Amino acid sequence: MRLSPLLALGLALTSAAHAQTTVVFWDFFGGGDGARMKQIVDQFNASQTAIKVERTTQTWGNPFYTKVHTAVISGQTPDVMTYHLSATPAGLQRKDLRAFSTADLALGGLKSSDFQSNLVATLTTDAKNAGTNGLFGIPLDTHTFVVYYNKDVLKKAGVLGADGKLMPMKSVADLTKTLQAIKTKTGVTPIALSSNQDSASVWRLWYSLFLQQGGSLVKDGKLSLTDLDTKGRAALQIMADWSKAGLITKNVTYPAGVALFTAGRAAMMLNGNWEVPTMVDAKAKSQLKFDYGIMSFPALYGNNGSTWADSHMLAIPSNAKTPLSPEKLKAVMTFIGYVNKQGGNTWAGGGHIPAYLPTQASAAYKGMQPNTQYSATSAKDARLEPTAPIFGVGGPVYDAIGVNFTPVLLGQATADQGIAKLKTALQSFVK
Amino acid sequence: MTSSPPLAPAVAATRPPLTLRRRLSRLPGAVVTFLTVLLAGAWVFPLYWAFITSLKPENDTVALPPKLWPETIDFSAYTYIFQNSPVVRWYLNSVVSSLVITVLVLLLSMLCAYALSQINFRGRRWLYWLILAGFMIPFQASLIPLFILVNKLGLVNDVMGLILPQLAAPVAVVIYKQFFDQIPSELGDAARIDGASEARVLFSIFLPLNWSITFSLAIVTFIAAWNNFLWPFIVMNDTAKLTIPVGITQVQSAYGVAYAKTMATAVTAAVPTIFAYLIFQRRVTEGVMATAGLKG
Amino acid sequence: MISPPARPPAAPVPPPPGRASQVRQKYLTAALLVLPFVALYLLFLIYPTLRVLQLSFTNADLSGNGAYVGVQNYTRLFGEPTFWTALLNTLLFILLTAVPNTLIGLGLALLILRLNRLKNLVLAAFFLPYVLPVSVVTNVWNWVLDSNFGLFNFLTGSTVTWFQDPVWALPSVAFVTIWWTVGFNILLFIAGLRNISPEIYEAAALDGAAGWRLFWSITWPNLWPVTSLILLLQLIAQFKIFDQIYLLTQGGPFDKTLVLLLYAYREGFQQQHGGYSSTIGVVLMAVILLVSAIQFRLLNRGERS
Repeated sequence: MRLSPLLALGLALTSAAHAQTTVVFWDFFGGGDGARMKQIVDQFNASQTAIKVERTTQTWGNPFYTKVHTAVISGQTPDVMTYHLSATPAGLQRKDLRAFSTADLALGGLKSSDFQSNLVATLTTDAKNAGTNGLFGIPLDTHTFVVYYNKDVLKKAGVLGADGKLMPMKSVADLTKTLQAIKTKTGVTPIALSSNQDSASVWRLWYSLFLQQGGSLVKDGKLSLTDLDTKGRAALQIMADWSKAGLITKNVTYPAGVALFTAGRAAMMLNGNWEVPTMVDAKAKSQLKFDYGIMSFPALYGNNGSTWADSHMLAIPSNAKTPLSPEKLKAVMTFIGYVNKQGGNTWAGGGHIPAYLPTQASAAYKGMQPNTQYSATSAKDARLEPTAPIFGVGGPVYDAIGVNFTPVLLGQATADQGIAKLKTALQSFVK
Repeated sequence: MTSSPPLAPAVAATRPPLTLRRRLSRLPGAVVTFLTVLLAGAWVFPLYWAFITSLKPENDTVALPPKLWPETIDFSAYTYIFQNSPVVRWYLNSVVSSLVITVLVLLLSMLCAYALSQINFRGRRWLYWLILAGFMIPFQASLIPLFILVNKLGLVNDVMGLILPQLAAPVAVVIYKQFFDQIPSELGDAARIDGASEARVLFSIFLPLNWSITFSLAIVTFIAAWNNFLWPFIVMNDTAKLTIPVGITQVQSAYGVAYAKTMATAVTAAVPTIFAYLIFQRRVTEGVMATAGLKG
Repeated sequence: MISPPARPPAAPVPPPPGRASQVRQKYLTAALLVLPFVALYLLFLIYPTLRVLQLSFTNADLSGNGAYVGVQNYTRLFGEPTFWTALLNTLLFILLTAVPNTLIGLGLALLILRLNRLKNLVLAAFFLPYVLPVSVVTNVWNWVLDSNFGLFNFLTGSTVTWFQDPVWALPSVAFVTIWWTVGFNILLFIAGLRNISPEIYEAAALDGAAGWRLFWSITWPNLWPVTSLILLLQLIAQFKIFDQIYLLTQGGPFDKTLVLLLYAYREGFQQQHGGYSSTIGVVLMAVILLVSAIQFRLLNRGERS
């Protein structure tokens, strides 16, 4: 990657028509997502000889974005990387991202209207808020929060309908009643939600409950704390009550939360759709001793089913020292095109809703199991994170949620205290 | 627990008058010895357990009850990590950077200490104090300016950026100076009168007299460089350029829950320092004590 | 200026080395020998130490660009609850490591010294962890203390999630730290114990001192210089605690194991607040210098008495 200009020139001169362009690709995918991205990259590398994608996986979240930033300021960047839409405002503020021009997109046989419009619109707004314009990422998917449920346990508790689905719930009270029925009749923990060293899951649930009440954290492009004392407090109180009543797991880490559900020791799991492959694989290997179903996060306040969502994207890090050569850019765009087109349904197999409209419209995606159980409703209800640099993966809000809300879930602080501390933290972030 | 009664006779046993020793040679002494050995066994047991785990097939690692000895010795965890992670690259990176650091630290410290000890130039006391002050300065407190500096030099994600800051430690200078100070000045003076250059005096007279401490320092410096975590973690970006202690933390997240593989990487990373220690035990001891300011 | 009279000017071309040039020669040699190390030392240790002070008065990012903001970082720092959490956790961690590590080191040194044939083997067992990379240590203990499949919880029947438990996380990291580093203290204590002359013991034994009394009247006071050295080294090392915490708990659960250096890392490298992070660095440095100075005085007094 760090060749002297002379050496680079020499290489360019000697390179024959068959010379391979190497594309360095950083991602943050582990688990089922990692397996699928590996499959796409392997297939891409096998499908042609001109480009070789070298994939390296860094740790998800803060560590990833820290590495990207140090790479950008030292001018030693990968050629292409994954990025969260929610992290884009912060990335733009740090000047870590390079915009894609229409011509760039054409190199990969893409155009911005090929992608789900709300994602492109959010990216455009992010750019405008950062005082620039352009498309700074190419959306790969929408991913959201869903409910995984154990049909055997729910049946035993008498809360499973004849259609094999959870009986309809219209309010928080309905849901709480269902959870209590599960607990008293089966003795199984009703909900697995990881909250230890996993502030993201706590945020996803809280933010969904907050959104469904019509709450908002950004108004007119500015951080707004007014809804926190009312709707925000109510959302946190619900979670604290569930926790106190033993309806939700306490102090459980992410892998443990998943393990509890797959082992049949939790009746439901609130988690991202990216755990779909875990369920599919476990079922295929007959490691799962029960029947499972997946549904969208229910609408608990009237018809408002708003649910937290984010989007994985592919992006090019900015590099002022050594900008991408035309050959490299062509190679990167070819790869991005391949991931969305040929790789689209493989990626959707990870439970995600494809952002590339032709994939979304394909018969293969429309019939995909178990995605059809939730994808239509979830796509409609998906709400992206607030568009401000402090939010999103790698931002300080996730940490603040973990630090201030987890004690409330453990019964060590009241919801009022949790909200008050969060407000102080949020205020200090924007100072 | 540390100062429970059985310890008291132990004190006496360090330099015991005969009567005491006779008394201790009775049963309680044997019990204390037994317990000491047992405790030592417990102390290294986690390492044994890590090693045994790495030799199990992945499914057996979580089998209940845990087996203290693998039923079949299975190298698949090792095969997997060598094929699916840049462990070999990390090894090479660690070997190269640790060796370069060791050689340079010793050489530069020796030269500097020699001048401070043997050449009477103005400002040398002042310079020595400045170097001594470095003992109290924690480089960790100035990580940000250090990173900014290394980045300005264009050395982030570069092996030189990894090595150079690790050469700025004052310990070896101070140890060498103390050793050089003890050498009678007549030795050097005689050679100088015969026309020997300072370099000759250093390398053919002073160095041979200090081979022992040089060797001990070399091993301790090597181990420290091999084990260094924070700075390599911050300054290196590309997965292929990591040193092994940083690299193995990356592997963990990619495997998910895979204990045999995680333990195989841990064992692989630990082997060089464990062997260095077991082979050169006395040297390591000497070096550690020298760096702590005590002569062994 | 004073030409050496002894040597006749046989060869006129090179001027005979005068005293001045001898002095110059000496300084040149000294400079050549000293420079490589001193240059690196000034550039990579002294310069960053001074620069961190300057940066703490700016709002610099990670590339070093930023404007002067006065004492704003300091007012924010001292008004920030997270800073006090980090400071408190650091002190708590020191309490949980420095003193136990010293006492356990002393105890084990005493136990090892009374052995004969097994001495080297047992010493090696206790010292071995010290030569391991930190990530190996954390990997091994993550496995042994795993809440579901770990050997420790299997043997004891415990279900505690050691590194994730709000109460147990910090003590667990402290325990791992002691396991890792106690060998170092044992070595120093053994050296210290060997330096106590046997005559002192014999004299005391003649006076009828034995067991506990022998320990308190002879061993402990004579060992004090070594003990205080170990305490000082421990104290300074644990103020700079980062690696084990980052690898085992990442500061969680909910900042229960957040320590100063991790806080500085989060702010500086993860959130790109280089100026504010430098402020934490300055505080850390001030604390360490203060501790060194106090300990240095205590140490000297201990040696003098």
